[in-house]
Amino acid sequence: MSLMITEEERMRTLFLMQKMERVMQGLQLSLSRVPEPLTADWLQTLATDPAREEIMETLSARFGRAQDMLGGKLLPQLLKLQAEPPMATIDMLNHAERMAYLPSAQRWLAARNLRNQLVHEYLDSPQAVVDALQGIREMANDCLVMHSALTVALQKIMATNVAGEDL
Amino acid sequence: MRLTQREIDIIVKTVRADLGEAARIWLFGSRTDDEARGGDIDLYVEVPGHFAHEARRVAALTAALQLRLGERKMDILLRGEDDPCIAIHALAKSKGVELQ
Repeated sequence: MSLMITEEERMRTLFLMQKMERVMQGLQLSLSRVPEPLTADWLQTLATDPAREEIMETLSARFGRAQDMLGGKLLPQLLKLQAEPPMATIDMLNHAERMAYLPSAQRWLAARNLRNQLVHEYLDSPQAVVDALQGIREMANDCLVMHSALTVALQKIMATNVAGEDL
Repeated sequence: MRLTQREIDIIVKTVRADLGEAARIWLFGSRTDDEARGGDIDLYVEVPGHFAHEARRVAALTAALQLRLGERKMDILLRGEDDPCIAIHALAKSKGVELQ
């Protein structure tokens, strides 16, 4: 079920998708600067190599922005265009997982929690920080998958709602 | 304390299923204050022996609880009894409410 999409809503969606695209490119760039998978050796050097530490900081920040935008802006916009009723965040994540827009709601939440732990400095050892960064690196892949799935769904719904007609 | 019995049961059951039956759990922070509204669910968990606060493990456990409780704002501090006790651990234990 969907509703007729106004021109304003269409423009807003396209603008959001463009912004999202830029954010994802930034994330991809950051990911290309760290090895996949992250090795213990590479991570050990974070304590002594400021350049590497900066790379990880940037990756964390970009991951955070991507996750916030995907879950907080792009996903809600898709659900709005699909005329879904407003949902609490957890319900939205579960719905997204069922619809295969998101690989795993639990992993998504876990990644947010990792970011919180880093920010609140609950991690009192370098090893714990390294562990958190490794988790974030893995979750970045989920962001890429989610971005793809949402983009496809958004393009589809906008293509079938030109002046209320199905193409 | 502003948690329902159902919420307490879910927390205790989920934490012990992951960390073992000997895990002890305290609720601390603003949810212990009956006069306040809203607020995060802050949990302090103690397990026997040594247990480093493994970031990903704690994040996954927190996520499992969030999905079950429908509650996003949660933080868990984890410590082994034989590990160093820092200020926030002591504070959580003394000011917090142990969940049974």
